[in-house]
Amino acid sequence: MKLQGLAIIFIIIILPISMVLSTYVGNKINTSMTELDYNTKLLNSTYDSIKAYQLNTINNSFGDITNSKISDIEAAISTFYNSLANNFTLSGYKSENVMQEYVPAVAFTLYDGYYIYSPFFNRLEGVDITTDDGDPVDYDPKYSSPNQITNGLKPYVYYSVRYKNTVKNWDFVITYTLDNYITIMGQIGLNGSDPNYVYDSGYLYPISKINDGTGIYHNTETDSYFFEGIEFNPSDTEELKEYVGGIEYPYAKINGKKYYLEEKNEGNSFVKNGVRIYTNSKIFYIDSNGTKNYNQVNLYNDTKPQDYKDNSEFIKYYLAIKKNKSAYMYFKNAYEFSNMVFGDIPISEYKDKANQTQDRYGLEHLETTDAEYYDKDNNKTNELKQSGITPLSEYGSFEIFRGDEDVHLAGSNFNKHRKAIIRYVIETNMSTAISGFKSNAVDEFIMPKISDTDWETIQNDICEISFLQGLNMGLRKYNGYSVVANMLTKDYIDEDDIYFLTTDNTYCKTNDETLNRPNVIPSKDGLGGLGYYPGIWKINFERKKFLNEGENENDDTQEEFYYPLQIKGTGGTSYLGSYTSIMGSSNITEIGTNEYPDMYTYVNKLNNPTIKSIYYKALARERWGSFNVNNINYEIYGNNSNEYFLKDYKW
Amino acid sequence: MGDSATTIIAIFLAAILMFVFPLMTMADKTDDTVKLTVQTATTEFTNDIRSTGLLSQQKYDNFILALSSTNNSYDAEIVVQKLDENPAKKASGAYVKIGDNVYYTMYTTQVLESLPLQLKEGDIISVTVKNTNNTIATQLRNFMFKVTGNESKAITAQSSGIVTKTTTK
Repeated sequence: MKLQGLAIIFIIIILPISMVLSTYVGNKINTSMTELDYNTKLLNSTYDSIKAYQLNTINNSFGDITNSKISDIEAAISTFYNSLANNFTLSGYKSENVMQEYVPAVAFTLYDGYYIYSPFFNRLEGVDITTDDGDPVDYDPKYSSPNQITNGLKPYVYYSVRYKNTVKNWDFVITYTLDNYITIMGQIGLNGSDPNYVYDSGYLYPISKINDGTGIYHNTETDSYFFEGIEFNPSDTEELKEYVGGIEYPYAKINGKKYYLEEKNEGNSFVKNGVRIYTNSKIFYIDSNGTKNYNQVNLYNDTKPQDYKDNSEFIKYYLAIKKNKSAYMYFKNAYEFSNMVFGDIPISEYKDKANQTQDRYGLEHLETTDAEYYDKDNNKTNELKQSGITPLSEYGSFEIFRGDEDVHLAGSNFNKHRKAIIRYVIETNMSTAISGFKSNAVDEFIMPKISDTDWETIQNDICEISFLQGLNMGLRKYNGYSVVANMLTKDYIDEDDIYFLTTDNTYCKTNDETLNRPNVIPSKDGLGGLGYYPGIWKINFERKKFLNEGENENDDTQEEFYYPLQIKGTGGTSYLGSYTSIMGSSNITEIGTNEYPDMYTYVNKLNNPTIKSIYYKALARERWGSFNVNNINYEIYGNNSNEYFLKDYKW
Repeated sequence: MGDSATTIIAIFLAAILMFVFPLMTMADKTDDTVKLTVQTATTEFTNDIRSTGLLSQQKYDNFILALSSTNNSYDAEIVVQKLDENPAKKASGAYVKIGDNVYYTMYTTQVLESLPLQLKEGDIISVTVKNTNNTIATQLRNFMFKVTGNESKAITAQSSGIVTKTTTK
């Protein structure tokens, strides 16, 4: 055969092979490129959704209440579906429904638990509800279709775990949160021969018997509490001030809501606890529609005595605003609760949140193996691992509240266990929700593996986790997830969220290195004392809106935007974010490293008593005033959810 | 005589068909695969920074390492646009805030000088990667067609997005 013939045969053989190969490789590449593209799209949509949630919650004074939170979350999820449909160029008629086929679940993790948004079968079982006509209701009418698959939020899942120990008569549940706050419910020990039930909650800190700076120390003579060498005394009070529109008001934050005092320095007045109380003053908060609401705190009634219910409440609010001692109350409660949980200093007449007198709970030797989820059985743990769940035994067996000096720190046993529980609770529920998802898009949904970096975010921040599965990418079907943290949240006070005001009218982060130079305002009046002003929660620097209804009835209602913290005499100029830590980051010390695992360690190592004092006082004050569902307690405080705070302002 | 000329042409043709053509196809495919690796590295790098808010030396090194594992040299441009809310913060009143914010830009050298760079929610990061060497496919193509200019790069990747988390780490 001639050479030409050979060449042609060679080409005939090689050409199809190379064509098939190049198509195959091309497809592979396309698939991978599509996957990258989808990852980015999912991340973008999740971020849009978080942004919607932030916009809705930040101006909503009722944003902490469950109903309001649920509607905020549902709105955010609706944004997610719309954004997803837009990103996949599917927007238009019923675009939400199109994407629902591919989203097995969206999870919203909050302070002490999380919501899953996923399809469910709309049928109520075992509940006895009837309509006005007496017909039984066997489905949730909020979602229109009875006995059908509908999308909605499933019941809230707490980060809680049950502990059982028959020797010690323990059978209780601890609910963990994103910080060192816990709630204990259930049986601890015996009360005679009956089980002793406990319902209690609080922040955990190490307890110290001497003032050496490794925990909270109580000086019984002066009734002061010391934390890291900083004294908190009941007489050390502060008056917080903030602008609403163009006027500055003193205020107090109680259960997440700010109460402003419109003080009239004229008319009838009397002195209580060193505060001159003007009886024609008014107390208001900013309602969800943006107007000033004067209705919650009744006006002082001059015709009635001071101990008349409305009057005494008015005085309490007045005192709480003028002589705020939140920081002291925070450490007092943390000290007492921590002592009850693992300390050995007796607290006389201690009552838990159910108003029961309690002895020490004595949980200092509570082991991880006491947790119900802790499986000692190898077969079972292997089974868990196969379905993508990290069993608790992986983290080892140790004492959770090891009576050491570090329960509040990032490296503590408590924190290790807290993170393990959060991960376990999310993994077990999510994998069930996802594998139970049925759709036309794909036969079987499997929870993708969430990376450790993302777990770190979930365990420490409020965030949204979205899943997307079943989209065709060519050779494979897509299976991905996205985690986006919500950095602007009112839900809890993170240790990193305390900012400092400086002498040059800017604010900066606690870990800004320039802060260690003397540019911190020691206190608002420059006289030292309880350093209120320089330490501020970061949300207070956000712009707010309110409806100015004017002084007279004929005035037009005007929408006004304002910054709560304004520089005096500038007509509304706000403090500016520092270029070394807020806008830029040139002077930030990294937190989370071996040297500075958390903010507490950083602040203590600074060795600057002014910064330390400002930081702890601000953190404590903000936490004591923030919303917590346990503050609403009918057993002790009746139906006044602010009573937890106001009870300390008796005269 | 005519027959031997045909043979010579045939040998040339055969040589081109049998060696250069498969070589070019293979080199092109390699470039495609490399492009995928580069794009993956770039997207993962960007998305990681977007969801953690931190651009550390280690992340940057890993990114460069992933790029150089493809046996090409690259020029990786990182542009960070930092959100500056301050101009909008100066006064409050009855106006709408949207549109008031300003971004200032940091380019590659500035970014690399300030590692670890901590970003905040709202910042924008954009990463562009181009190869600086001539890959075999480009060389062959240049040799064959003599048309591609010097600026034509075989491997490019681009990824960008808004940062979703303010980090303290």
